[in-house]
Amino acid sequence: MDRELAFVLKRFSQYYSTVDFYIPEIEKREFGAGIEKKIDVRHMKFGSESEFKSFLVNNTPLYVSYSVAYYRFPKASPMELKGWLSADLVFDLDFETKNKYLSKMNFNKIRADTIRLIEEFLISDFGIAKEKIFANFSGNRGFHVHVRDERFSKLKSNERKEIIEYIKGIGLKYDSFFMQTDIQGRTRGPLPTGAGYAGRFAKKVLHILETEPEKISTIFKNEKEKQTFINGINSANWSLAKRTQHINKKLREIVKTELPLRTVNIDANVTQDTSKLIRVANSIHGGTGLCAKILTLDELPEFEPMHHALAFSTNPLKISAIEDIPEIEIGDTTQEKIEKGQTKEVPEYFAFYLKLKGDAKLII
Amino acid sequence: MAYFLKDYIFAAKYPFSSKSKEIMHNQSIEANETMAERGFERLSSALKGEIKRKIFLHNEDAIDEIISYASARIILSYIRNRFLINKYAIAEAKKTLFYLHEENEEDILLLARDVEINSFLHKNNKYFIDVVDFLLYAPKDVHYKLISRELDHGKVPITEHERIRLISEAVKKYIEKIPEAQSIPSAIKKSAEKLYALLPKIELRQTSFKEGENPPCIEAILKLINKHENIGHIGRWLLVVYLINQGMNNENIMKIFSNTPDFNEKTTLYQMEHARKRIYKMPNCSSVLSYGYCVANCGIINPMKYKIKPKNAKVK
Repeated sequence: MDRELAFVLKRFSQYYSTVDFYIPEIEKREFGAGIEKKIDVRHMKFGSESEFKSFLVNNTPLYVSYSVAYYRFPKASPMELKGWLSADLVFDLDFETKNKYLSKMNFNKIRADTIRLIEEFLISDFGIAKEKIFANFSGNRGFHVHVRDERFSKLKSNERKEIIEYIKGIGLKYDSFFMQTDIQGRTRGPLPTGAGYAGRFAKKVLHILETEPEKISTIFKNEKEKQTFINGINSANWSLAKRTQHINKKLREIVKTELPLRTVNIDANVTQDTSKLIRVANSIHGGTGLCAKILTLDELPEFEPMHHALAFSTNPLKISAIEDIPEIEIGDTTQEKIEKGQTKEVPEYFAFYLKLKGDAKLII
Repeated sequence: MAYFLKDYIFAAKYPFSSKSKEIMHNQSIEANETMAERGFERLSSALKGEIKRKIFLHNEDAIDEIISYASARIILSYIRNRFLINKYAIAEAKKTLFYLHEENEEDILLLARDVEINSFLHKNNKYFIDVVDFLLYAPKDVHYKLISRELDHGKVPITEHERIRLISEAVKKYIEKIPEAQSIPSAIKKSAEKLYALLPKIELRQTSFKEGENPPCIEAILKLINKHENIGHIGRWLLVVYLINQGMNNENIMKIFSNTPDFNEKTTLYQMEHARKRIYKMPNCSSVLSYGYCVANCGIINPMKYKIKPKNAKVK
């Protein structure tokens, strides 16, 4: 192992001696760990959190993950022999981008979608109690949301696929929100107080009418027209007379683009594959040096990874840039651009961030 | 506890129910040839897809019916043939669907609990089920996709008929759980041999597509068929249209479909003729996705574009 990596891992080890993980039923989980790859070894088992911590301190990996599933024999291999008992329902929200550094705008989007997933879908639609939902930063560009509710834990891959399809709005039909009534020309549509997608659709349309009505049609710049349409929606009357072809097209677009969580990659495989390993919450991501921090639902809206997920010190460390590094906001400062070949003294957490991203060498 | 004829009738119509177990608790049953024969009849009738409505006039008729059920279970636990188990489970589920429409509210809920659905709710003239139970027991049909439902705090609104349909699916899953065989009486073994003799005519015919020859959505459907599982109406239709567009003839398509437990020659033939007459093209991937049958991101727009069309898709 090279000196730089050994240095980084030593600091990982020190971090692990101070942190708690709060892993429920740890003895029923399979663990995996890696340095070369995210998972070099798997089929590991730990009887207790202190045993797990001792492993991390003494055999520190760059990445450590655990199974979303609970097994009778977590160490057994192949998978069929493990004796699957149940599995957390897990969502992996990640931003697909070719850029090495995630923009603040994209991160804000994924954070907003994570909050929508929890509040609109898991709590409101699926009726999952708040205290059974756990979120953590993924350590890189997104979030993991774990549902630990025994009602859902027995569900197999097919049923989990249905949940994902629901959240991603696959098969969502605009026309299914409306129904012709006996009164000619009158269409009955969803009420803003309604449940699921239908209610959300009505709420969303009302919100747009209140804030930027021209997004639906310039007709609604006229206060009277707008108010009549709003009053209609509030009494489930989405009369066709008001829904011209143009308006219908706009409303259809809202259903398609703004209601489902389609813009983000809710990594379907993580949710569907009930034998998947996922990063241990509160462990360090070996590709960024950031902590996969456990977050309460109240902390989530304010969470900024480059401020709140730092695991290392501000002690200065010298680096040499292998690539051009853009200006990056991290910790309490904005780190200026660093040109390829330049050496510079930076805080330890930033030095590790660049080193693990493969953009800098540590000069130690 | 004293049981009345109506209890016996209930137990006979639903021999997997707790009431049936209670009634049989004090009966001493000998595993003789008559019993084995009754089990054989029940299974062979399921194989033929027969759903017979029975009238039970006396307690003894009911007991006889329950015995045939128990015997069928023992035969299945000995044979452990997946095709037969699926076929049998479908027959029992259909029978339940048939009978349940005439039951009162109390009995419907009693049976639902027996097959592990505890979450039905009847409020303001509307029926609801817990979303987890809905996911577990919804038939494979686009009509039952969660996205088409108004999901509210974990409750899914359903109609009265859908409630019964969900129970019938739960019955199917319940029946499919066949316990491991303990010691098997020789009379049962003999009946099992007789059933084996019936099986080859409708037993699995392996499809001989090479792996990777078909798009993943079609492979997934074929995999289900090879496991003798039901693929749902849309799945069946997608496969028919795909195979027709691949240039396969009716006879070979029929051979593939004969692997499904709810195979019906007439329906399959009708679907094929209909698809050919209308010159149905394979739906695009976006439609396959919305039907819930897309399983991979192939980066194509139509499953037919998956790879160069094989000249002759063959079936053994």
